[in-house]
Amino acid sequence: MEEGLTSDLMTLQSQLESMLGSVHANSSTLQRFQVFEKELLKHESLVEMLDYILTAQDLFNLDYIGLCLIDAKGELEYFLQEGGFDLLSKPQLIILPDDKLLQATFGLSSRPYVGSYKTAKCADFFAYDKRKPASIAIIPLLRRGKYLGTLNMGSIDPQQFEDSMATDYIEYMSAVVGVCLENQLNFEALTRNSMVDSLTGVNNRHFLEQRLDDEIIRAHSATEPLSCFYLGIDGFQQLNDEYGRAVADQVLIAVAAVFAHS
Amino acid sequence: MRYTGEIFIVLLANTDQGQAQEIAQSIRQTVKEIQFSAAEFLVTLTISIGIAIYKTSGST
Repeated sequence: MEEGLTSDLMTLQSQLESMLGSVHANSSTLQRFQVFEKELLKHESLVEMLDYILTAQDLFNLDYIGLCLIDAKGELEYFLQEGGFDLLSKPQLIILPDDKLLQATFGLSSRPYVGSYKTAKCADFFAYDKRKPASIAIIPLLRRGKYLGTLNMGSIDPQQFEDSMATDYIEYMSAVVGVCLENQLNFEALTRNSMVDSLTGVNNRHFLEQRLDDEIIRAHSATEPLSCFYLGIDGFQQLNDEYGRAVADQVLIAVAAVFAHS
Repeated sequence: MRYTGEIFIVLLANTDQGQAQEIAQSIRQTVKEIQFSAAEFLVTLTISIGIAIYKTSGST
């Protein structure tokens, strides 16, 4: 009888210890998420934010963190280039021209893929330079029902990601990444659009005002010459009066195209 | 960049006066070759360009 009680007690104790272990593990995971989230919200530029996400593997004790981002209009690549982001040195950022790969991977469910690394399903999402991850999570980044891309995590530990595990944390994390990413992309697009002439697609006066001082300072410190020319279309007013505004606009577009491409 | 109306400004980093003149001439030439058809007329365009150089050594 007493023996039975002792054994029950020991079972209970070991259950309690294992539960406490889970509680501690969860609490430490939560803390790491909070650190990550706070950092993510702090960044003021797209490039800064991407740099942070792509180097966050140590924070989560992972061996790999990467992103796939959809860039249908080439805007993202432009922003990255402008921001001095070196795509070649960051192969974990994979740029996709459309969402075909994601449609094929997630189907209609848009549920994360969590489990063992299967080359056929996973190879397109991972650009690892050392060891192939054994277990992975591919989490869709969605905003307003559209794919922005995926957040890809990998570990050489086959047990780190198992298909039976709860995905609340990583889904929450991908929601935060999605919002932050969309926000930064919108901000970059807004800044960019305010500096472009909508008719000709070349930069506008606002851009010149913003950029001229920087260019002069740069030329000065690099002791490089800086040239500027002022280009006017002869008889433009007459052209406008004679052929109408639509033609005049076409002329502006044609002339702008000449120097935009030279 | 488009400055205002039919006026554009082209800013050329690390370009001296000679190079800027060459670029300006080539743009002028290219624009001249655009045969622009408006209604039933063919319009030939010409442009005028003025150049300014900022030299790090001082005077412009």
